[in-house]
Amino acid sequence: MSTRQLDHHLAVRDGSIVCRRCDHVLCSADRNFKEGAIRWDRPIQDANPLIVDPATFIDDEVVFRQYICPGCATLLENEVILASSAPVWDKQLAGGSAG
Amino acid sequence: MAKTILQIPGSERFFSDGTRPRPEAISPKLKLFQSDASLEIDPITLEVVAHKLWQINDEQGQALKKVSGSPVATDANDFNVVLCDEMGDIVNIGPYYLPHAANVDFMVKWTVEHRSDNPGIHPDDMFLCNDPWVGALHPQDVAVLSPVFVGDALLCWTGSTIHAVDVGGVNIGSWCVDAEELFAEGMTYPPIKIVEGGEIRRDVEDVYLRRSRAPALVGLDLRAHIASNNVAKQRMLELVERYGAEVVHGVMKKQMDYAAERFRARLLQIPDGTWRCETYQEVSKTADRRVHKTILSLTKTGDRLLFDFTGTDPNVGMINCTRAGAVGGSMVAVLPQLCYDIPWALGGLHRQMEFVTPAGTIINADFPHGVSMGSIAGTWSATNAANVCIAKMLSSVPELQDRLLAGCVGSWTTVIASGRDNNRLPFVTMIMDCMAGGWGARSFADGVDTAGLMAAITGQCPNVETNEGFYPILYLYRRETKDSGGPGEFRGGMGATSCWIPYGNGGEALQLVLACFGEAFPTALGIDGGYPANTSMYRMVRDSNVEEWLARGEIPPTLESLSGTLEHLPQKCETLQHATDAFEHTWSGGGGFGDPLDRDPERVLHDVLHDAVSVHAAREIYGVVVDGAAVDADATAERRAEIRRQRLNGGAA
Repeated sequence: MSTRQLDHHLAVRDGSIVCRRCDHVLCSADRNFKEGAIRWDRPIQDANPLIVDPATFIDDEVVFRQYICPGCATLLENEVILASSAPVWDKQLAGGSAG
Repeated sequence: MAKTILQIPGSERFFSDGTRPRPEAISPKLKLFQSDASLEIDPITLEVVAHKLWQINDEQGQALKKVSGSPVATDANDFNVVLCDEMGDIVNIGPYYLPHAANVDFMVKWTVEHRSDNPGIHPDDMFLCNDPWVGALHPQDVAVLSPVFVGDALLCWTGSTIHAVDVGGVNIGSWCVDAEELFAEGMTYPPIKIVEGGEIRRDVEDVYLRRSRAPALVGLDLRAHIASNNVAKQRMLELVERYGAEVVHGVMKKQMDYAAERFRARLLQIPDGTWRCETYQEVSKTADRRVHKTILSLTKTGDRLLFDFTGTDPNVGMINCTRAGAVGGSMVAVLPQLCYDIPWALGGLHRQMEFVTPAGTIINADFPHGVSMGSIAGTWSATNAANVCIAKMLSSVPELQDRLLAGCVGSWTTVIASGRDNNRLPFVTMIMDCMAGGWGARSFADGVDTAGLMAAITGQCPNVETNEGFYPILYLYRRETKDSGGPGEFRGGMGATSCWIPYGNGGEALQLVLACFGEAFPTALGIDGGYPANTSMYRMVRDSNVEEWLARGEIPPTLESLSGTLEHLPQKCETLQHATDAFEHTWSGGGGFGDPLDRDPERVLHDVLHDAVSVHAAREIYGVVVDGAAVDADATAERRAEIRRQRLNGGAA
């Protein structure tokens, strides 16, 4: 069994992306880990206490999106993202099914 | 309704993509120095000459700063200097404004192709250029290129770029927030011969300075360029005299080979993969209220990196950059994170990289779309995206993860001020306070507070007293901004806030031009669970009672403590600041790294006690309950458990 580090929280092991803290299996290694994480879309003001109402300046909706390990509730990643945008596949090791 | 901007037939000639000149396009009138590629140079000589090149590059920068009278150059270091080989590949670049990494080399390559026949490239000539499609980041970035000849053969080039405080256009400082095409922006010049046979061409200089609102300062900058290039050229010729042209030329080539070899080895330490980022700028000009995205896919395969900006939004307003900006902006993130121990011989480093920059987008605008904010808009969005992609890439490598940086200083909050100074003379300047941005957190430590810019690693925030001495303003405060560092297991570095009033010019109003992005949402992103930093902010209290405070011998501690009308000013605007108007601008800190719930509560307490983090943020984001000067351990454990339950419920209570 080989393990490859994907980031601070995640690893690729036996063809899956797993949480390094609790070993929870999020998804197969050739998928975006966010598909196996809990997603929490929050108002952008939740990202920082200094943010004022974006509607002061813009018409588009931008949200603070969080991805959480279902096993141990570790916050895996955040996105500052247009509400209309799909989750970004931000970390993709080549040969994802290996490892 | 969006304005139709027609492409101009023939304009495609004025475009450099950064590749080496085509041999068939170079006039036979220009003889290029050729050294024997198999030339053996003993290791001692190679090291001595290589270090001498670094020293010459350093002296270039020092000479420029000593002559320029612009605080933009002398204090904030918004300039850079390079030594290039005969074809324009960069061998040495200074540690100043790094996006210029893809600037002078683009211009030299174009000049070799298009000026070698007419008017010709001769010893003691210099060329001036600020054309963004040829290589400038925006029209304000003016470069001067100087060929260095040995005998009748072109050995190499020296070059410099300085951000000029004004080169014309509809808004002061040439930050043309009301424009969306080049013809309303600062005057642009493809490479023109400004120095011929060692003499400044007065006719050309007049054409150049005639369009500036600050001709004296910009004229002095021109002399700083020339002095810097003269010093570098003289030192290069002294080096040739001592070691021979063959050796000097050979060392330049070997430096690039060495950088490429080291970079290849670095990339081979990293697993193959793709890392992506979607990042935004909002408000492309005055009255726009839309969000515009930059998309980057960074693919590492073997010993190569591919930066692919496919999917980025179409060019719009004044926020676009050209290909030079996209490449230079990406290099800002490459150099400190991947090449921290490798010579920045970019001609070598570029051999391992490819950039896909779709035409007609905000990172590679078609002529003549607006580019006056290019250096800190399209370019900066490329930096933000590359910063995050490279950091996430390094997070996958146990041996290199300590080199990553979460998002650094997500936006430059431009403040151009003009009016009459304390001597009632006209002035135009850029207030460079936001040089003191916060850096992103690392995987093992907090980001550095008010560290500077990733884009200008030696840039400095001018002293308050310097600005007050030069310009008719009085600071009420300048300080680090609580909660501006992105929360995380390791916190991002803090940004800061400045506030001033007009002062000492007889009560005349100042005219301000403001241009930033990241006021509606943060742009210095966290990684691996780290939160983003704060947003930028422009605020003004109109008709304040600041004079009453000063008469009492007191300084108002916040804008809210003043009476008057508080306004949030938009990302792009031009406005007047009257004598009793207090203007405040806040700039970005750095993003965080890791889950904030993993941060040691004692470190959170330390931040609260040192005004880096509010009690509110400590509780809501870090889950740390502070009671007086101590952590309430039981309440903290309960609060953190509550946040975890909420996370597992996807936000439901």
